[in-house]
Amino acid sequence: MDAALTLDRPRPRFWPLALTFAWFAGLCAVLGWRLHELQVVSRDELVRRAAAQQVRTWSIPAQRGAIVDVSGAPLVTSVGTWTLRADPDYMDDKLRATVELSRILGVPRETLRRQFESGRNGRILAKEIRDGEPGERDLPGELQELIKPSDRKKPRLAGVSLVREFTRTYPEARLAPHLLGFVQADGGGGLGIEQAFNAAMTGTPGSEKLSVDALGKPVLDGAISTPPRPGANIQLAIDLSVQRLVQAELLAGVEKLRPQNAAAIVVRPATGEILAMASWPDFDPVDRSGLVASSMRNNCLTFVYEPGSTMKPLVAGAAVAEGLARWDELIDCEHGHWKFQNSPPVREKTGGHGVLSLVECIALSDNIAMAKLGVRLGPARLADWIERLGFGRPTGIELPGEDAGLVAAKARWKLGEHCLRIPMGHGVAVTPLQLVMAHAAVANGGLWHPPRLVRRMWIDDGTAHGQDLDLPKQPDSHRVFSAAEALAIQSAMTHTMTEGTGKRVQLDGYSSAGKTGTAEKIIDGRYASNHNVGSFVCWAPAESGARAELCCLVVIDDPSQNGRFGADTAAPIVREILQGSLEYLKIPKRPEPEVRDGKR
Amino acid sequence: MIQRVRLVDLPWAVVLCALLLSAAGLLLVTSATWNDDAAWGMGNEARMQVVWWAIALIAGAITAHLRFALWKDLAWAGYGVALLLLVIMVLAAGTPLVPKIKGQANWIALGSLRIQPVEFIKIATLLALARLCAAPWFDARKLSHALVAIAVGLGPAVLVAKEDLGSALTFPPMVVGVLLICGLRLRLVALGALLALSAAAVGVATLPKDGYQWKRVQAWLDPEAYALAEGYQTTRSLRSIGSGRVFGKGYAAGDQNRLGWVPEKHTDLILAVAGEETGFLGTSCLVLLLFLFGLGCLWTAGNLKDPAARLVPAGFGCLVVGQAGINLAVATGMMPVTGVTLPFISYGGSSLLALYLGIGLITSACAEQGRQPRPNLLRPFWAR
Repeated sequence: MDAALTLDRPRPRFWPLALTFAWFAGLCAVLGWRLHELQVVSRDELVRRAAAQQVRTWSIPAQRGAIVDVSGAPLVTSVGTWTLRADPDYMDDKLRATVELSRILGVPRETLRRQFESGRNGRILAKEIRDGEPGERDLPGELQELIKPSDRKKPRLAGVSLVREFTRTYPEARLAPHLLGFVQADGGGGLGIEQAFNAAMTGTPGSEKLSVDALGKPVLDGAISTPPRPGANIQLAIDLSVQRLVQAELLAGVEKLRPQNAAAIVVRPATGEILAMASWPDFDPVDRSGLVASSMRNNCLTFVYEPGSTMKPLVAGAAVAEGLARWDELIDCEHGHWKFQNSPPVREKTGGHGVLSLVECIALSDNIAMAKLGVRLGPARLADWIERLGFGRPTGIELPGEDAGLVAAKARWKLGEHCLRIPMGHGVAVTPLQLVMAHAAVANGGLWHPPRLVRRMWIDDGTAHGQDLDLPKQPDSHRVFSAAEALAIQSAMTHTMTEGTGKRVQLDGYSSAGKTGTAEKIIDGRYASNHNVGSFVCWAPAESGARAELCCLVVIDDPSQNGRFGADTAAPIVREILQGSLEYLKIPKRPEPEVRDGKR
Repeated sequence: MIQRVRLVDLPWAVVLCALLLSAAGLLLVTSATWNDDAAWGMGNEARMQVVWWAIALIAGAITAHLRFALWKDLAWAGYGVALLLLVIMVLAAGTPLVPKIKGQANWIALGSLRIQPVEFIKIATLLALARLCAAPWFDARKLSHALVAIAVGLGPAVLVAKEDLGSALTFPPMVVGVLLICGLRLRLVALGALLALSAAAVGVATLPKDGYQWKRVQAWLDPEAYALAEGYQTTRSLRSIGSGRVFGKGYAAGDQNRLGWVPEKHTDLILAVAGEETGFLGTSCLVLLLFLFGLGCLWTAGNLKDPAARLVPAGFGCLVVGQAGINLAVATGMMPVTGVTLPFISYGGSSLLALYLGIGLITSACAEQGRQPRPNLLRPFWAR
């Protein structure tokens, strides 16, 4: 075949063209398949990746809930402020930014110009800008108007951002730091209410989703923003004025006595509400640098001590309730030395007494009479009563870290050991809160309430009332003594105040019932007579027909000067606290004119 | 020398597809370089594209009005000028005349005007190749003749390759296409393809493992792992194309495009814009249109009687489809990144002008032969 012939054909041959057509078609088919693969089959992954590179999410912090006292006075609040940042790289119009920001912030233009020239993003121009009060200049509002004008036709100022931040503030400074707690650097609550209710108080941060271009500059159009949900506010049963008074009195006592620890609690017996709770040593919730760990302990919940004589009226009441004794029964107090079976003798350090009625035994705080009642009760019944009084288990207060105290296992109780010592408050260790709640039950006609610190928890949702949240469940109230038994214990304890160890700390204008307590501390395995824990529990008014309004316990651990016994150390503090609080709460004084009824 | 071009003489399939592709290209370039302040959003690039399109249409019309015989006579002269231009470019690389832009010295700068000579060299090479292969003595089935043709066709590509590998890669489809039509033995084609593939495989295998080329190959295999380095263009392109899904996000409404997430989006990666804004629907139409353009070229070739004239549309179709194939393969991550523009679509004046010059040549050949028979699918050219 001649080559020229092939090429001179008037028509090209079919196969070469068909082959070319085939590879065109093949190429296009492969491209079509690949595009189908990308845009139809595996698109979701690519869509996700495209969105991931393009969408940035900014978190908008939520306001942490406030803590207020019983009357609504703020104890801890979060104050929102604004921080103004500049990103010079993203500025469309540096001149306008300079002029406008200089006008609003009152900063010289030259300063701003130089800052914007240097072109470092994220520069903080102004910090802690507060929202303007009504009538004042609203700085954040003016800046916001500049950055995102309400009139959409106005130009936006790019490269400037206003960021919300919150500062935890304490209007009452060092008020009840153990109880309120603090907020850690990471925003989590530490200690106290802040820790216990951290989840509810934190709130839910909002978010703003913005598209950014390849250089990272945000595009403000079409931002999807979710507003933050503020955290729950908490109203405490704490009364600010009572708390202030308690702290002041406790601190004065600490100054005088120089103890190692001190705790004070004021309870409203009728409801179990805690009106004040103070622990020493304390700390500053704002400046926690140089903080000693032990000063963060809330002694009211964690200081476990042998209560001493403050236990006596409770056990005596138990013996009477069991029908094993009568309040007017005469008991031989053996003049301070009594030996029961093979046990070591029970001694009375202050000399002892002869034959006394049970009421007098309580008033004069006789140990031998209590040991005899313990023997009458026996291990099983005594252990039951100790449990019923709330010892050996947490009270269920809404604070973290509560101690259960130390009570021996029931099976190990012995007549010759536990029954002799526990009625006088030895061989058992309690927390101040457990003890005050047990006495509050007596003051409340025998009905034990769990300690209540939180009255209400709610979220501000724009309505006047807000949205209430459920409070954590607490142990149920239970009856310890019948009303008559409780009244009898109270009347025995009033004798302490009128003729017993509490005589020097009687209240002015109020009847009261109380009991002092002093226990030797165990140092190196033995009781040390020169290291004591003194305490005093007292409530008022204490008379039949009147409701006990306040019950107060003060515990002073190992005072180093000005007295050792509870009557000398804790009792005066309790007196000042009760006197001041009752007057502040306008509780009517005795004697008062009979209330006349019958007109209506 | 000058001939009359009647409308009926026009290779309508080719011209229509070219016009549609150019219009789509203008829209996509406008979207890729959107300017809110300008009329119809047309930024500088889009307006330049309009100007170049107009110039290209006029130049194409002029080309068509000159007799094809004249172009055949000028073929070798044009090829000589092209080679000279290439030698100058290789020698003057990096000087103000041939500045390095984005690492490539493939531009000639004449004042503010910058042209890419390689686009015109492709057309000159095609014309010379057609002239050579249509010579009465030429027999593509003889190896020596085929090798001469390959040398003529790929000579410029070798000169181009150093500065612009992508453009060099567009020559082989054209050369192979022309030789195929001439009757190159299939065995030879298969052998050549095998040789090229094995050479490529050996080349890749012997690449230094710390060189950027090796990394490019790695990035091609797993673009996401090199997303911020060698796989940057590919990943951005794939994400953008995929995010368009089936129906696209709407014209000029692609946020990946508008927010600048796709690099080279108005030139090499314009498919990313098309994919994002028009979806699979748009991209498949684009591929179909390119396919139809190639088909039109083949049809025109089939209807031309002059052996040289017949090779021009066939080679031109192979050039355009081959280049488009490389571009789309890169944009969809099927090939390692090489800088090749998408014919008719990508922004670029030289490219558009050269393409319309090619269409002008085809039209000139058609007009010289006279009235084109209308496509008759029932009785195609090979059955007449």
